[in-house]
Amino acid sequence: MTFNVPTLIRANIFQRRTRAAIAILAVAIEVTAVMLLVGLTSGTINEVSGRIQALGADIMFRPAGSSPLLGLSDTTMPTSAVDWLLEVDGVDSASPVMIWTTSQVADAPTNMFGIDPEPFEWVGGQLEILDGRRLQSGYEIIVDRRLASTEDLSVGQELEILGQNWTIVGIYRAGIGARMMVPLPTLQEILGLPNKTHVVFLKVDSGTEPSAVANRIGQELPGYESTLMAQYAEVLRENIVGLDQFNGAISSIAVVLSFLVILLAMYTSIIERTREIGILKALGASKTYIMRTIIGESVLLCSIGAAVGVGFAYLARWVLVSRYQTLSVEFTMEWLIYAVLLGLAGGTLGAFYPALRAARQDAVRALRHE
Amino acid sequence: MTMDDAPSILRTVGLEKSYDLGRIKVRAVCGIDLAIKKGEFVSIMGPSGCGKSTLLYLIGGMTNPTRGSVFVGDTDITHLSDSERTALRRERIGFVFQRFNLFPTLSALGNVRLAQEIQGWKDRKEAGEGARELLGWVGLADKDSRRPYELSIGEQQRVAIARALVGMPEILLADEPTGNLDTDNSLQIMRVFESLNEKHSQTILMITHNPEIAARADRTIHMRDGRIVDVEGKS
Repeated sequence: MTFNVPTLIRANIFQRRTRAAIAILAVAIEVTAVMLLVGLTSGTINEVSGRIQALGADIMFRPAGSSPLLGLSDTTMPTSAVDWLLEVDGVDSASPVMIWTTSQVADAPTNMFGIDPEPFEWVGGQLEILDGRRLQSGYEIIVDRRLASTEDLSVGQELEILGQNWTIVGIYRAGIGARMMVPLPTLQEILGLPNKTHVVFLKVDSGTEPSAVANRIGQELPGYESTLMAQYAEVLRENIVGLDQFNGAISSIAVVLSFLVILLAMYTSIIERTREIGILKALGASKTYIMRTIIGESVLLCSIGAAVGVGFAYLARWVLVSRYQTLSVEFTMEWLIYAVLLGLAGGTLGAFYPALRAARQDAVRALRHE
Repeated sequence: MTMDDAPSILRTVGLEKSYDLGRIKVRAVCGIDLAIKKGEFVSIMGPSGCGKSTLLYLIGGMTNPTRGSVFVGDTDITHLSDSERTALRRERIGFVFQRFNLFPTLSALGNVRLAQEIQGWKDRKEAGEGARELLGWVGLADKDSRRPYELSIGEQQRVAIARALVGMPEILLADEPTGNLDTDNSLQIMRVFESLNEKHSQTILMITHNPEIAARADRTIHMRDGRIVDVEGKS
């Protein structure tokens, strides 16, 4: 690009500051929306799968057709499944877990595990108690440090969940399983599902390949599904129906939004600058030159908007995570680039028609335009 | 070689331009035959709406005639495509307007450099020097960083002339260049034109309403109702 286009473009942007600010803001909002949305979904998936994988179990066993996204499925199986599983060659230990999702403790829905503490630790769920003691029985509850910090919870405090008062007896290091854990029999009783469980976590014998054990379980216990914990994040992502489509739809709406705002901004700008376009034509400016000038202006606006949007996204993440500490927002370089490209694409496309219209304007009429 | 021997640099043959305004057809230019020699300074006079500006735009290739031809040198520009006429304007014709038509967002230097950029000047240093030289030539060397609104109207018109002279076009078309100026500024502009014409043999075709201004040209063409009705030579 030659030297004076940026001068004219920059001058146009500075002369029409309100219009430029609105266009920049529209692109910034688009980039922020895409980054936050994708960051929130992938952050949540990675955080949840990370916590489940941190249990240390090798296999998650559940009824066929139930969701691997814990807390979303009501399908249960008898706890006697644990006995069947322990008979499968290669299974070292098994821990039944019931899951309940509640919004009574934090702003966001939070999972609560009903566990049998001993087998839970055998499969790898090493809960490091930071304050108080381990779970025993009855209406006792332990919460992780992150939830305790966010909701200002402490040992001895009572929580009302499922119409019962639960006493916090311990606070454990965050990052394993769910944010709250209660004794399995108590949760089964309250839910009216005695001797039932949603999932069973399995540990395989040392030196045994978990996939081989999972295949064996599949053959011996048909009607159930075994998910290898090493692949849990991937399975989770695949099972969240419509996630990609949802992200795609929001991204598309964002692109259309920036496209329309830039289209309107550049179109009105072209109408305002009709006479200037006439002057350019009188000076011998080619159609390509005029289009390049207008599209260049839009690209500059969109580039500033994209940069501002990235800044907004990081600021919004900081605000969200400060306000809702259980939320996870993860930005990846791939999506950052994608969001910026979407902003630029929307803006460039939006400027194309006004640029074409300007380039095609009749020079004499443009010069006579008041 | 005297002016009389010089070849025509600009020629129109049976030039006509009509506009359709709804049911009414307006004939802005009606069969104009005109020849202007290289280095000639010609003024055009006539009442408002007589077709002077339309003639200038036809000659500058800004619009196509309904009938007839415009020759710039040996090239019949009416047979050129829009982009070819744009290129011809860029390379061979300079425009000066009554309303100056400067870009308000650019400085005096920026306005001249914009024209350089349109002409494809690549070398920043050379372009900067060239632009400053042109501004110096019209007496604005010390005001190159000023925006149009920081200049007097006479100075604005001189910036417009400097811009039109980028690349030293063969033909300078001026549409009432002194129409918005007071007497002093008008005389300054005319001195610039005369100097250009005398020292650089610049061909100039200028529209004016002012008989005193018109009289400073080599030849004055009088138009009425789209036609040439009289031609006067310098006495």
